[in-house]
Amino acid sequence: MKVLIEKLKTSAGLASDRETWLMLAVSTAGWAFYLYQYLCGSGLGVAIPRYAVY
Amino acid sequence: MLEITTAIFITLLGSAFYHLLPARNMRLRLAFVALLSFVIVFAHFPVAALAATATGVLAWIIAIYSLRYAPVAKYGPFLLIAVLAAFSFREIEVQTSPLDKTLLQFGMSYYILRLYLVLRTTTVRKERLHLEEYLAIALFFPIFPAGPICAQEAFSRSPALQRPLLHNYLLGLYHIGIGIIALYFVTGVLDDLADSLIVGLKTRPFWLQMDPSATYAVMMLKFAHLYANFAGYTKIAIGLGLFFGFQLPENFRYPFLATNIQNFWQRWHLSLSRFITTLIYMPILLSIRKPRVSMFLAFTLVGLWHQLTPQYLVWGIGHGGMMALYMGLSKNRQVARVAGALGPVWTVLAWLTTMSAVAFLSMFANEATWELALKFVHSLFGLQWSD
Repeated sequence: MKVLIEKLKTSAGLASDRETWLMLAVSTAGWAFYLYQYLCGSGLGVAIPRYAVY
Repeated sequence: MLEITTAIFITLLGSAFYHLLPARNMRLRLAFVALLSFVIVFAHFPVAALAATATGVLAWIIAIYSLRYAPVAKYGPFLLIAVLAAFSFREIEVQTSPLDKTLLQFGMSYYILRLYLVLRTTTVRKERLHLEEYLAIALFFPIFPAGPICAQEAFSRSPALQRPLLHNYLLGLYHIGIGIIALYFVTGVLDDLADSLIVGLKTRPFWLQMDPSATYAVMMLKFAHLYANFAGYTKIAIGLGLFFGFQLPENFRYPFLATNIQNFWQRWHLSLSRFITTLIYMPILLSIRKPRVSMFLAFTLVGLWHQLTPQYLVWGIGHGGMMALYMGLSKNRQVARVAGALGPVWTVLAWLTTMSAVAFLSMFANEATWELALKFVHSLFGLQWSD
């Protein structure tokens, strides 16, 4: 796992192990949210860039 | 615009086919990316896709003549900026969807900067790119509607191309996961919070019906929403790009931690920030030799690049003015002495001032009309509005 974190840290340009763990947790939560919305909700809809929301 | 699941599915399928093409033949791979992107963009926004293709071809022609004639190398890239200005000044009369028209202008503002960046770097390095790379850079579908602003370093010269396929796919999924949380979850929470502040208000715009504290809270929430939306969108684009082995640059580095305007631009929209520094600020500085005036002019131009409206002119003047002011104050010994004496209190004040100022300019610039922008200012400062 340590090797994996080190690889992720280098590839994603993250500053520390702590930040890498945090970002990995956020990303996992993102996919969990995606799956939840896909299976139990109505999906996530389109990916909208910023100017379309104003 | 593509639904997120469809976008991921198409990119996975497209990238699988892309990786079946011989790795040594980058021209063939880029031609495939350009064609795939054209088909996807054309299916949703036909006019915008045709305009991007034409601009890609124009950039390629400029590049060919840039290698032969020095004046073309110097002034040719400005032709792209002229195209952008022409489209911004005048709404083009075409029978198409409103979103296609919007994207014709907004998509163009991004891919023209990308192509401009390519032309400037290839001229300096005496490098030649093929037509398919210009088209891939102009049309690449994950970044077509918005940033980041990147050149050939993100595509045919991408360091990710040297990595194993599985590594890139897993890294791509990691970026997309972060993007999903920001773009769909965080923006939803921020919307709910903003809605709770405007609940009970029936007519739009809400500005004059709110007291200054509620207006300030909505302003900050809208700015946080803008960040989550743009950063989330960019993260998904970076992730999808990695499926092809393209390394699109990071665009944000915790901008909400910035304690001054210069630091903010070292964290916010990084690809635009680099573009401003190298291709707008530096050339102006070299010709007029005044750093603060150059910075002010650079940001004013970038304000107009966002949109040709008086609101965005104010945005540019505001950011340029703050940057020029900071450049002066950061060297002032008295200011440094006060900052040292106040310690963490100064840091909190500096953070609050920076965030409030950038959120104010963002809210002001993104109002649809000048009158709405003024109503927002009246609401924020508790001023009386007279029609």
